[in-house]
Amino acid sequence: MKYFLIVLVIFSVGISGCVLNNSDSSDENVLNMAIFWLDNDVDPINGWNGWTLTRCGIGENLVQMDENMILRPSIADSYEIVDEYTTVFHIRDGVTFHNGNSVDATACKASIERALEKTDRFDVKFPVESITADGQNLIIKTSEPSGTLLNKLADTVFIIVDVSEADEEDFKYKPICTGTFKIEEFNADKGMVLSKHKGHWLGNTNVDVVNVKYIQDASARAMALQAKEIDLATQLSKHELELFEDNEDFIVQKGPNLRVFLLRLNFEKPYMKELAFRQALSYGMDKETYAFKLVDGTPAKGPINELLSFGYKGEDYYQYNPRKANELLDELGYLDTDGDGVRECNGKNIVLEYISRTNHGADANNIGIAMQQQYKEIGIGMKVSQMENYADLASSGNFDMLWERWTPAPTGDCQYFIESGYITNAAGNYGKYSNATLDAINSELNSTLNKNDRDALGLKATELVMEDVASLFIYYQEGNIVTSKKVEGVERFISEVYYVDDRVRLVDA
Amino acid sequence: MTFAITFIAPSDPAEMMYFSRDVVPTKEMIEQAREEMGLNDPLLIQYGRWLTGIARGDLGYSYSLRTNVSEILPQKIEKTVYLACFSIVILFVVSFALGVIAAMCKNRVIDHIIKILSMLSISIPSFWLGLILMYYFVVQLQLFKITDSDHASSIVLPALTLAIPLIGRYTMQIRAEVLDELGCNYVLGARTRGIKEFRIIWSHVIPNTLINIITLFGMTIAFLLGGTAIVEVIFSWPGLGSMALDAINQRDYVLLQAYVLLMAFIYVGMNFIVDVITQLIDPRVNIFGGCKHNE
Repeated sequence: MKYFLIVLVIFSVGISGCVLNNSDSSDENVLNMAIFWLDNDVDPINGWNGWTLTRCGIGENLVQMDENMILRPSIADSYEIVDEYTTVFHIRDGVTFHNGNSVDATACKASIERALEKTDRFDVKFPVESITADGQNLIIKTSEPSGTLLNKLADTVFIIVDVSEADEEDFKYKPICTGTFKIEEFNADKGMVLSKHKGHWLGNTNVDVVNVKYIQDASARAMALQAKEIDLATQLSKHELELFEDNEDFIVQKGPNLRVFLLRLNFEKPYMKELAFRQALSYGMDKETYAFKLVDGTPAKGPINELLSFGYKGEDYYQYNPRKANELLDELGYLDTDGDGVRECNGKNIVLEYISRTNHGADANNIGIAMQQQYKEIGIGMKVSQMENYADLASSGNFDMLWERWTPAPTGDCQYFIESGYITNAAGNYGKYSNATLDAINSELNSTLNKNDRDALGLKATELVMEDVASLFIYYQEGNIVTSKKVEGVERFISEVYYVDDRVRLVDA
Repeated sequence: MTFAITFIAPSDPAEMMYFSRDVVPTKEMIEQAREEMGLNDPLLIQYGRWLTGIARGDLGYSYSLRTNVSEILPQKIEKTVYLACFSIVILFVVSFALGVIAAMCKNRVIDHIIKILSMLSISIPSFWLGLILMYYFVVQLQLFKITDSDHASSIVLPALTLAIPLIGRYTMQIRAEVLDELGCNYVLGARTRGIKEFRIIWSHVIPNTLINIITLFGMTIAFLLGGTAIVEVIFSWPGLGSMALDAINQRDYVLLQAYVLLMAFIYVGMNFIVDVITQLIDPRVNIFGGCKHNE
């Protein structure tokens, strides 16, 4: 091995010695950051591509969510909800696009209309009666009461872009936005080079250039940080994070983010119709162990992280308690009459089909295997499968538990997860869950505009799906962001939709 | 055959396209996507359309990457060819040197050391080796950069990661071939005529050994050109392997079929090149059939 290393070192020195001269001699302040995901283009109307724009400080919306998921004005410096159909935004004076064009209500109108027409994100569309531009005032009227209008406009799909340039060939790679940085180079395989947008309406940052490096592998990101190739990285694993936590050269910010991992239950199965059965399933799994030992996450009590205003903040309704689970199953009459260790329903062994998709990764499978072992204690059999034809099984209903990952409140509003996944006949409601009270809450949310009232309804819905065990909520993903000491002004956003904005500064610059 | 297999594979590509992007599609969105992707047509019509496109040089449109496949492939091939060629040079030079040394020093300490190192290199998983190389050469010694794939030196670590596990295998193969040749009568004859050992090895043994080894190397080049997804992900090296993996995950059949077609060309092409080289090295071999007789 030593011989090999000597050969390698000689070889490496030979190759690198003549070419490695990477000292940055320029006077520009350069921030190097890593991102773990980059799609083939960054046009915000395509899927979730706009996240790259907001994460790197390139794109801005009329209104945005801050690090604590509180709505704040951005390109619009104020807004007024006139009635349940009408909202008036005042566009901030002095905002310019990256190409120098000024941003007024007409430009914002064109951008929003383009997004509504062309986006593939059905969940953020809203019914438009009219959009009117009047100087710096933008008036949006919806044809139905739309309590989530502000939240939807905060979604990255509605990043304000200069539509007059949208037909250009490279617009999808270099969209003209309004953020602190503008894209100079885009390469879907490598990342982006950004320069400071000198005409930004805030103009606080002292960073001139941002090298955004696309590094998929978490270990490689950690090593790039250690080697001081980058100053900012996110989504490191627990073990990699430990390298930086007690290191005075780095700042680590971490905590649960919005993403929740859950098991959708199939309500067409006879036993799943019984609340006591679903409660027993919930009592029978040790979420704390799965979250802390298997996936480095936070055990989930419900669909919404308690950091959000409509997240449930009390004790978990169904903490791990196999004795209680057994009692409930006994009371239901699901007994093991043939002594094979598995309870029966209508004379058949209860063996649950646990399905995850291949690209859900090892975590989904490992949790399934852990559950399989624990469910033996309560006399429930389980087959754990990870497969490619997940979508077919989901549609056909040929499952008992379906592993899903959700960002239930991407724009800080409660209605998305209810409407997309739990109301009767929702597009994502593969388990055919139906609850008239939840449907009524969703209808009420459509016409409820006040934030506090919406939050109260969201909390009510959250508690309802928890109490009713509409799904088994497993864990919240742990988010983290690591910066070198030379970087200031970086906050960890719960949503993880933003990494850097106008506040980012280089300390010794 | 590939077309038929992808056609009968489970999951709807239109649905998978949305799922892979974490978009929950409506039935209308799926139907529209199916229409645009031509998935509602029967297999034969889809296949005919694909063949016609190929004949015109149109490889189709990748729905996952939202661009023409003919624009994507050249970018990926360039990176993969660069990496494969560099790896094969390392592999060829190191394994030949070690194989010949081991054969010449049969059953001596150096031979045993080379055998042990070869076994070790065969046993090392690529992803682990990649991370270890990265840790020592990037973090500790700071000789290379992870993030600068345009830099000339950025090829070294991924190429070593690909080459090292293969070096052990080839070293043992070359050692065995050289030992076979050393046992031949012509070597004994050369020695009795007082020809120096180095000249015997260099001028006679190695050329004879090459004939068998070249075929093996040809197939290895084809394997490396197929892309090695793990190395590509670890080193952020955007090549064919990770592209194919993404295409499978996202059911991008158009991209996948173009990849399979390309791989078929590469394997057939490499086989042909190997045959030509073999004939150049050994005139007794005739790739067009028949045999030449030494007079």
